[in-house]
Amino acid sequence: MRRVRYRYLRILSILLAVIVWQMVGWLGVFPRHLLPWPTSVASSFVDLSVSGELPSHILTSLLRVAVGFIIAAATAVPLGIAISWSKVAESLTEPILEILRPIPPIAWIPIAMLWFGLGFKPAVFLIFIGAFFPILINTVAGVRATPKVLVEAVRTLGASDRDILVKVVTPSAIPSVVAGLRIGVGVGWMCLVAAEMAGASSGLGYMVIYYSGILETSSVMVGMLTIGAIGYAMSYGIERVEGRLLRWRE
Amino acid sequence: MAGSRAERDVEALRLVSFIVKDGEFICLVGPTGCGKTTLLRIVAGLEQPTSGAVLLDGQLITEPGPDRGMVFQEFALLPWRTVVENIELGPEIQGVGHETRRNVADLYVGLVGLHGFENKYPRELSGGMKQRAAIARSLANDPKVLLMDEPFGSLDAQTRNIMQEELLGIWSKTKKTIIFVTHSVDEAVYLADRIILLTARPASVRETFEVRLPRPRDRLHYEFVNIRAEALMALSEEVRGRSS
Repeated sequence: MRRVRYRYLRILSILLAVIVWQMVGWLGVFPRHLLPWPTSVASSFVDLSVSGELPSHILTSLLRVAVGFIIAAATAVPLGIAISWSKVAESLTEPILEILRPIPPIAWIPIAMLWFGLGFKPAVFLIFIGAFFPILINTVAGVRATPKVLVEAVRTLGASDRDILVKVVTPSAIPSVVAGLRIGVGVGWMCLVAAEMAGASSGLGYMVIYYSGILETSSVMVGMLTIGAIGYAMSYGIERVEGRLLRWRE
Repeated sequence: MAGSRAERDVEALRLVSFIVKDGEFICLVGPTGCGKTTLLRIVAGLEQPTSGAVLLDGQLITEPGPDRGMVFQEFALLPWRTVVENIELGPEIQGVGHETRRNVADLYVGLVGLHGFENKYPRELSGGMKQRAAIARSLANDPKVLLMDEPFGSLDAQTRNIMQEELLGIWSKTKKTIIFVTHSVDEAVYLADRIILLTARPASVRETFEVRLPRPRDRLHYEFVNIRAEALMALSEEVRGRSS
C-alpha cells in the first residue's frame, strides 16, 4: 500500500517538473526557440524516433560505453586486487596511478583525438579513463576492508594464500567492487558524451552539439533528456543486479 | 607447552608451561588482558612466540593447520555463505569432493542441532545459532584440538548456559581435545576437566584446578561451589594485585 503511494510520488515528481518547465515557458523568460516547450520537445522526440535517427545515436553511444566500460572493469578489478594484496604491486603502481588520477577525463580529449582520431576509438578510450579509477579505488577499498577475523578463521581451517584470496577476500570485496562499477559506468557515460561532443560524427553527444549548431533546441533537449534517462537506467540496472547478487547482505 | 610473547614491546606471556592430554577439556582463565587469547592464538599458529614453543603430538607448531580448529568470539562465519556452505569450507579447502563434503557438513549440522537452518545466511541466525555453525565448521575439518576463544562471551546468559551444555554433548560425542579460553570462572568450573588460572600480564600459570565432578554438573553442588569460590578468590587477587 505504502510502496504504491511512493511510486505515485515518483511519477508526480516528473509531472511537476514538466509543469514548472511549461510555466517558465509561458512566462517568457527565454524566447520559445531557445527554451522549447515540453510539447515541442515531445514532438521532436517522436520525429527523431520515427526517422530512426535517435535510436541509431543511442545504439552508437551504448556500444561505445559498453566497450570502454568492459575494458575498464577487466583491468581495474584485477589490478585493484593485486594492489591491495601485494605490497610490491602497490609500490610499483601507486605513484603513477596517483599522478594520473587527478587529471579530469575531459583533459584527455585533445590527446585522445591526436592518438586515435575521431569517432569510436577516442570515445572508448575516454570512457575507459573515466570508469577505470572509481572501479580501481573501490576494489582496493573493498579488499582492504575484509574483516581480519574472517581471514584468520579460514586460515585455521588450513587455507593457503590462494584460498584466502579466492574464498574470503574476493567475495568480501564484491559489494564495494559493484559500487565502483556503478560509479564507473556513470562517469564513463559522462565522458562519452563529452568525447562525442568534441570529436565524433555520431552518438548522443554529437546529436546535441549538431542540433544546437542549427538552433534546433527541442532536438537538443531530446538528446539531453535521453542522455539523462539512459544514465539513470544504467545505474538502476546495476543496482538491481547488485541486489540480486548480494542477497546475503540484507 | 611454554611460551613468551612480546607484542609491541609488551610482554604478554612469561612462563606458561602445561601439557594437555588427549581428549581433555582445558579451560584457561585469567584477568582481562592477561594474554590468554595470545596464548591460544600461538597454539592456533596465528601468532609466533618470541621464545618458547608449542608442540602438538611432538610436532612444532609454526602456522595454522587443519589439525587445530579455532572458534572465535565473533563467530567469523563468511556472511555470503549459507550455514552448510560455511560448514563445508574446511573439507572444501582440503580438496574433498562436492558430494562427500556436503555429507560431512550435514553430519555436523545435525551434531550441533542446526537442522532446518542449513540454507540460511548467518545474518538470519541468532547469536547462539551462529556459534553452533562456527563450532560445526571447525569440527568438519576433524581437528585433533578445538581452540575456543571466549566463544560464548557475546551471548546472553540463558543462551550461554544452553550452549555450555550443548558443547559438553558435542565434546563427549566427538572426543576432541578442547582448550577453552574464558574469563568466567563459573563457565570454567562447569565445563573443564582442568582449569589453568593465569596471572595478570605478563601471564604465567598461577594455579591449576582439577574438577573431578561428574557431568552434567550441578552448579549448587558443594564441591562446585567450593572450587568456584577458590578460583574466584585467586582470580580477584590477580586482578587487584596488579592494578594497584
